[in-house]
Amino acid sequence: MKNTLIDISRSYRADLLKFKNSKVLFIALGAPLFLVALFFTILLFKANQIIGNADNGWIVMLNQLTNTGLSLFFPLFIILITSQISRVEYDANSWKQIYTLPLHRGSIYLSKILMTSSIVLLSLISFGIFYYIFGGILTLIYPELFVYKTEVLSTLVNVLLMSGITSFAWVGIQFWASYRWKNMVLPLALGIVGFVAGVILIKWEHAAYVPFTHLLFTAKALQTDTFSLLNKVSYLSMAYGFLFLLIGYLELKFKKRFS
Amino acid sequence: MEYLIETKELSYSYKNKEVLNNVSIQVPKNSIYGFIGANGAGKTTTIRILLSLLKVGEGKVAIFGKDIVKDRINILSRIGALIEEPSVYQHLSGYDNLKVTCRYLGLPYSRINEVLTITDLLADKNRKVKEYSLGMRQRLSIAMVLLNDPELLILDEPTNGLDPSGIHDIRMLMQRLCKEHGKTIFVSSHLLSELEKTVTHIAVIHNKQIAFQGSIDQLQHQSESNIILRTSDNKKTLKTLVDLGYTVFLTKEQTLRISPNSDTNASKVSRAIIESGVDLYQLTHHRNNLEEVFMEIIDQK
Repeated sequence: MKNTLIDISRSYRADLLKFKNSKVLFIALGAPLFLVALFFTILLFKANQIIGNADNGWIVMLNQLTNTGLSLFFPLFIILITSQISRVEYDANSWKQIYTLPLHRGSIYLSKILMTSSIVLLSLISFGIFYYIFGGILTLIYPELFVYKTEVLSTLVNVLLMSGITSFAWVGIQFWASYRWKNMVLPLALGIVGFVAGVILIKWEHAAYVPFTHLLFTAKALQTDTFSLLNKVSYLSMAYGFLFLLIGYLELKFKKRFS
Repeated sequence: MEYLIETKELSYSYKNKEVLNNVSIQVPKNSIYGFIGANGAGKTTTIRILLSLLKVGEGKVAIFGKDIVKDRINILSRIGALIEEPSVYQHLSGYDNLKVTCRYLGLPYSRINEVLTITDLLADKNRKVKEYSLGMRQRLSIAMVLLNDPELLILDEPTNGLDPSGIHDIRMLMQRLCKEHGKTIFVSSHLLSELEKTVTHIAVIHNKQIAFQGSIDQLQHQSESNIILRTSDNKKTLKTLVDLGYTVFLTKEQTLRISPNSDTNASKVSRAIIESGVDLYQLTHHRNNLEEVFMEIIDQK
């Protein structure tokens, strides 16, 4: 067990270095910056019309970011990031080289999952930070419309936690697909088909059982008075995520050819 | 003799197609062991089995006297392996690529400059790998496998695609690693000519089986030595020598070939030709080069 943890830690540190000079960090930080900056620009010029009689511009901004931004944008971000994590090895033709290192193969796999989760987490945290920075600028420009209250932070934390949990199914599916298929088009195609299916099926009564709809439930959940982080969608998302990561692990464990 | 790699009757099939058939090899310690065979002969499959990238079909594989299936991680910690084309991250510098391997293996970065010196890449360590030539990338890959100071290097076609200068660099590097650093090197190639000046031992794999295994001297002795003659009248010379009881071949190059070769034969043959009134322009001793021996072995099989 101790050796496995050491192997995971070593693999994780090695994976971290591979993103130097790569687009992964740029995407992880640039995507939330772009999203928040976009809504900031809209509010900068149309604050009065958009906020209208609503009592707090901060909450209006967060609702807009969640409804349109996170729900629709985040799945595409996950598709892109997960494909990049495995892509770096396929591009360097290095999988076979990694598997000849004296490491447990499961540790290499787990390290990649941790890396993917870390990037998703980094992106969500930077989303929160950019939200505060741009919200702060709007408060300086429109002090009467953007009144900061403590509920802003708790709502933001709920949004981020809910997004993190409901993105787990997406992460599991996309990670599994990009890990097993060398062809980059296949996981991207799966992700895009899933994304479109999710948008179409969200109004279906059994939509919660479709993993591609889960992120769309984030905005929905925040609109209800009885919001709870651990709801049916959260549990299903975690279950789907673990299921696909387990399938990927079993495929690796029983693989007969490493190339 | 101590063998670092020993396979016994190794067979492997993929999708009901036989890829290896009873392959038994023995790689002595401190040798440069050339594993030669045409493309598709089974070289890479054998190497992948040695590195546990493929499951052992039938037979046994022992490295350092231990079973690769049961002791994979321990064995791999003493091996440096390079499989086919270089596996390097092109967006990183040479130095960062080595740092990645150090992190995987839990090694200090202090070893990096040492392996860069051995592979003659120290001056280029901060350049991005995408700016490296293929030969430099190949040497960087070798630097990566040297980081943990392995006892055994397994190099699969390290000269593939390199220009003559790159091939020469890799040859020199292998010789240095064996002589100065005491490494045992198992190296595969489809061209014997690339390795014949470097290897101490050789195995020829052909049609999924080992066609020859032994030292380079043993391989050399597989070939027969000949006398090559160039004269003013080949037809007359041929008759003269046949009458004397020699077996003579007229070659495509319009020379005559006689075997076996010996100083006594050379002396008798030259005297007979001159006495027959034919001018002797050239008499040379010829032994097939290893490439020709290799082809002979393959043809026999």
